Amino acid sequence: MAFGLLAVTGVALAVARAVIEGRAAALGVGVCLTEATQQCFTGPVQPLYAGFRETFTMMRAWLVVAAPLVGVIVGAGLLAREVEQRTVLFVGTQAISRVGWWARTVAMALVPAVVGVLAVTLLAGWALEPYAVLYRQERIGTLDFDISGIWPVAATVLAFALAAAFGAVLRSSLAVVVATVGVWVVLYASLSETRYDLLPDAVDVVPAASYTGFFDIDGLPQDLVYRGAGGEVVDLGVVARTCGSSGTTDLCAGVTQVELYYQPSSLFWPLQALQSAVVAVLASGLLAFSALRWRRVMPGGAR
Amino acid sequence: MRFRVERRSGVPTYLQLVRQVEQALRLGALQPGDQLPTAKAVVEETAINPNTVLKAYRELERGGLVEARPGRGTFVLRTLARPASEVDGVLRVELEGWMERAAGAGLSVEDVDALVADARARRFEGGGARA
Amino acid sequence: MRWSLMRGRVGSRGVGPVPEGAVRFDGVGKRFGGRSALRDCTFEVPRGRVAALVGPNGAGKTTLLMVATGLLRADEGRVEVLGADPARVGMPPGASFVAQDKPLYGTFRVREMLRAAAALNARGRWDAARAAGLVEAAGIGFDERVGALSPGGRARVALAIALGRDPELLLLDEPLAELDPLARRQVMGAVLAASAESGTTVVLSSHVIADVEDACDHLVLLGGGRVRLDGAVEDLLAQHRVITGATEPDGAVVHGSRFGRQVEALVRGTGDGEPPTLDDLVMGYLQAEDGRVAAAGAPS
Repeated sequence: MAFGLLAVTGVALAVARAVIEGRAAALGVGVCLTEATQQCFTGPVQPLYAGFRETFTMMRAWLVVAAPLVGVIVGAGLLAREVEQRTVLFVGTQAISRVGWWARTVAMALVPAVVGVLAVTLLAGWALEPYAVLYRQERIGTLDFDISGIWPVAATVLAFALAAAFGAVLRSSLAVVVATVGVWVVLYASLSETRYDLLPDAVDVVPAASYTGFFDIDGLPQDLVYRGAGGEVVDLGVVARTCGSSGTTDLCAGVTQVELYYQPSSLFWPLQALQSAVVAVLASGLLAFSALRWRRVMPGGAR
Repeated sequence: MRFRVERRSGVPTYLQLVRQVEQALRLGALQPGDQLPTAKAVVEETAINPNTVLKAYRELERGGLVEARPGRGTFVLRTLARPASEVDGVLRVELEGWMERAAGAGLSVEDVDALVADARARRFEGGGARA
Repeated sequence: MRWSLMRGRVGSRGVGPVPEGAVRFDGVGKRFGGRSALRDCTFEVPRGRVAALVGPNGAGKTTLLMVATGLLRADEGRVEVLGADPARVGMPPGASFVAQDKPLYGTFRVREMLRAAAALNARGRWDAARAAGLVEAAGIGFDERVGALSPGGRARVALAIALGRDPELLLLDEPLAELDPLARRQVMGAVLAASAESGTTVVLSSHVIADVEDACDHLVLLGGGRVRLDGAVEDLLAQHRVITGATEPDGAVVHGSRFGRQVEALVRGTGDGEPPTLDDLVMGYLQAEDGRVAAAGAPS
């Protein structure tokens, strides 16, 4: 079932790329899918721009869900199925230690799942590239971070480890799925929330005189700060009321420079590594717990 | 040689095996030098305890009919078949003729069995029902 | 101790003691919550026997077998299987077990199931040729799906895997349940062939005595979690009589029932009356009120 899911996702991704490229070619704005030039914000590109925004968001949202979902499906069945089908009585009477069998079973379930998710991640990178160019999304941004690099695999492993841990404690497959999803959402939320606070921001400083309202940075904006002559911060609200919304703040409200704090794109891999490391530690702990619990899973009651 | 075990007959299983071997020897189905089926083969087919087979074979060995050769199997030593004689042939033909007439008179298998058993009992066992 | 009577027995060659029994329980008890599944169970199955573990449903047969395999741990008493304590070593290496419903991986093909069994037994003994040969002899194709096999087919595959471990002891929980008469004959035949060929000790449980009475030479009768009878079938039958009369006879009456004006009693002893059938024996002891126990086999 998990692999059916991945297969369908893969096909959907390929179709998504084909469709947008076809439409762009029909409108004569194919170049906007490879390079975001100035004219790619207005004019003939408008229908393209408007028409595929939802598709892009939905595809990314689905991929964020799909990776851990695969982990849950593969992990929840692991032990619950053995107990339900009573094959635990078979396995427990062969010449293999409980932990040895458990390790083998986990490896046999997890490795194909990880490979599948990795493949789909790479495919998504290729398939969604035109979208990313068109909508100027940075890989480091929230939704995009979650579907790129090694994070999807980490998400799968974490969901798997959670499902395996709950599976060793709870009897019903349904309870395992519910518990896993619940805890995973909480973990995901906390990891997402803290992600951009882990590493220091870079800052792009523009003097008020040459401020055009646009920053040309490569990364994810975090904070915009107006500074006065003495280095003090000028409140955003004051700036908005005094200067209007034109964006130019030449000597307006005493602002001398504008600072944009952002997470540079170069932080993508360090952040991936950090968050995946946290997941690795959590998953190891969970898998170790379920291995120990599995030694005590007996039909008819605990030892 | 195939064994048939009658489970509810009241006759101990091992004895049934012994008698079936004796019968085979009598009819010439087993000749001296033939090997009796291994215990494994017998139990695989009849689902009786291996010791029962061994007990039957020991009994046959005690009677001098077979010999157990370690590592090789159990082999028939002598036959129980009577040497064929003219009288046997004549008797057989007469018996088959009688069977024809009995069938022609409308006797069922049970009727035939009852008649034969009674006549045999009278001649060989000194019993039999009064006519 | 009952089994210690047999311990000091001299072997048939007159030298050295007889090897320890294949399965020995001494005062074993097992509780689930408040309920006692096994109580003060003591019996011994000597090596080389084909033993029937007989009793009504719920008598504790499955619990007993699971304690013998280490899947469950006894709360009290001593358990010894092939000389080892399953609570300590887990499944004894020389033993094999087939649980009720013959659990196998339903989505696997037979070939894959055998391969899985080989992998699970990589650390122990595994005779791939024997297991494959048994599957073939049963007329089962290696590409068939395990889940699609008939109950008889599943039983043969489960048995093939159990025998692939080249066991000295075969423990089977209700192997004949849900099988048609032909399959029952074939499964029993395969089990007994292993016993005939390799001297494998067999302990199989059944709630239908008729299924196993021709095959077994040792009986352990379980009723209400207690061992009611333990001994060689031949000896047990020789030590009891069925006496029919107007009144219950004197002597060691196990159980008597009234039929019209007659009383039919199962008596411990020799002499008057008829030899009992195995059914008489089992029924008598199951119905006996004080849970009387008998073990046959005085030191020879």
